[in-house]
Amino acid sequence: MASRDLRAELDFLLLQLLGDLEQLEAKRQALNARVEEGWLSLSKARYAMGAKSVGPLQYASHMEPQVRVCTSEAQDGLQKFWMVRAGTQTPEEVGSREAAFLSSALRRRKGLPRTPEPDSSPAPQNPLKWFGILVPHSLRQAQASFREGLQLAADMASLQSRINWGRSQLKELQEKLKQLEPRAP
Amino acid sequence: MLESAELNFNADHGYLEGLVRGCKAGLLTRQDYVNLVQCENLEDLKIHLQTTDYGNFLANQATPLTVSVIDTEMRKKLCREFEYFRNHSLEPLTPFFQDCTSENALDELNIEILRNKLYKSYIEAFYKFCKNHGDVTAEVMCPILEFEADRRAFIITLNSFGTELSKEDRETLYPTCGKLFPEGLRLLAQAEDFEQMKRVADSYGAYKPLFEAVSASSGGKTLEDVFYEREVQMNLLAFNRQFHYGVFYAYTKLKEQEMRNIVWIAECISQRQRTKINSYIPIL
Repeated sequence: MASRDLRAELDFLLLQLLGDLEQLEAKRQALNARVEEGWLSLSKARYAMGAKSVGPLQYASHMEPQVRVCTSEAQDGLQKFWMVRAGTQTPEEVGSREAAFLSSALRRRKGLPRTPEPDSSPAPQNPLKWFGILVPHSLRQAQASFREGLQLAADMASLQSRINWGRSQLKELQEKLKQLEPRAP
Repeated sequence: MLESAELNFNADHGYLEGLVRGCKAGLLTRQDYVNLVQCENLEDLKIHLQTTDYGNFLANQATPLTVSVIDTEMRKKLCREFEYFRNHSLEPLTPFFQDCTSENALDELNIEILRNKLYKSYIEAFYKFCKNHGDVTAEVMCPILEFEADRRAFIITLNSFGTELSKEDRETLYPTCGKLFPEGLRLLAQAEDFEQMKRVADSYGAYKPLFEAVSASSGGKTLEDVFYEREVQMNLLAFNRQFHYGVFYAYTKLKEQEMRNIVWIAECISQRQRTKINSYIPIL
């Protein structure tokens, strides 16, 4: 019966949704841990180098992001996010080349696959160099922690959009089911 | 002859030595640090600091208080004290103060190598000045400056692993007024990892125990921690002798360590990271 197939599909979707939620929670905890680690490592670097040596005074006058976020939208509306190192090119579809730091907004692109544009700009300078060449280990550790955090953030965004998509699918299926099986009195 | 030097010292410099010893007595004690560590937030920290020699130095700061503001105000207070010492000093104490500036005063330069070379020539000139002055000042200051030079060489080496700084360039940055000169510095220039650096340190009685105290795990002491502890020990010893200028340098350095401690505690409080909050170095 059609409704049995529908129910099976509903169950499958629900299980997937719950799995995604669990993954999202785990990634959120990991992200928080990485960001806290990063900030503590920055404090350790300040202890070794001097409190004013690791701060806004050292920012470059022109900052180029090292990592960009790319998005894509599939036919059924599911969106994916992933990180791309600046200076490299992904062979698959390239979405909007928008620079993104952890907190800034992303712009969506309705994705028909595009031919990748030739990338002529050189790789941007490693921000670690803003603080000198001979930086202590704690500063490098901070950078590594924040980088891991970035990757987690992209994964979380993908998971979040999959969860939202899953919920809307679930609603649709539930509607269909109601129409097929009107409530028994 | 020595007695007369000691008798004459007080005529010219007695007031300032008394003053710096008084300031040193006002450094935070272990109990002060225990109180600070228990603060819940930076406002709490400010209240506790009011009961110490710091007094109301944060009174006019806008809320919310940040760690950066605390650091700036502490630094301003130390600079005022230092300028007072300098303005009231007589020959031959005055040139001592001119050479007594710390690395932070050289911060305008951006290029790492230039900065390190400048520091190298500063410390070698300061060392020569102290040595030529002779007397108790040399006896107290020269070991401290030798240690500073060697510590510089070790830290430069450690931080240069994995960077584009070549071994030849690295060697030109090492100050030569320490115990490591010349053999140790030559060996250090060739070191490629921490283990090789440790082997160089093992040949020196003063540095072997320091390297052994460094733990490889991320929770343990780093090389910088161990060096800071040793620096505090040496600076405290300077106060055990009288009638020399080393107490002024030692006080400034101890105060800098105290500021590092307070900033560390403040950062741990504001980031709510209490696990490492006790990593400060107690002085008194």
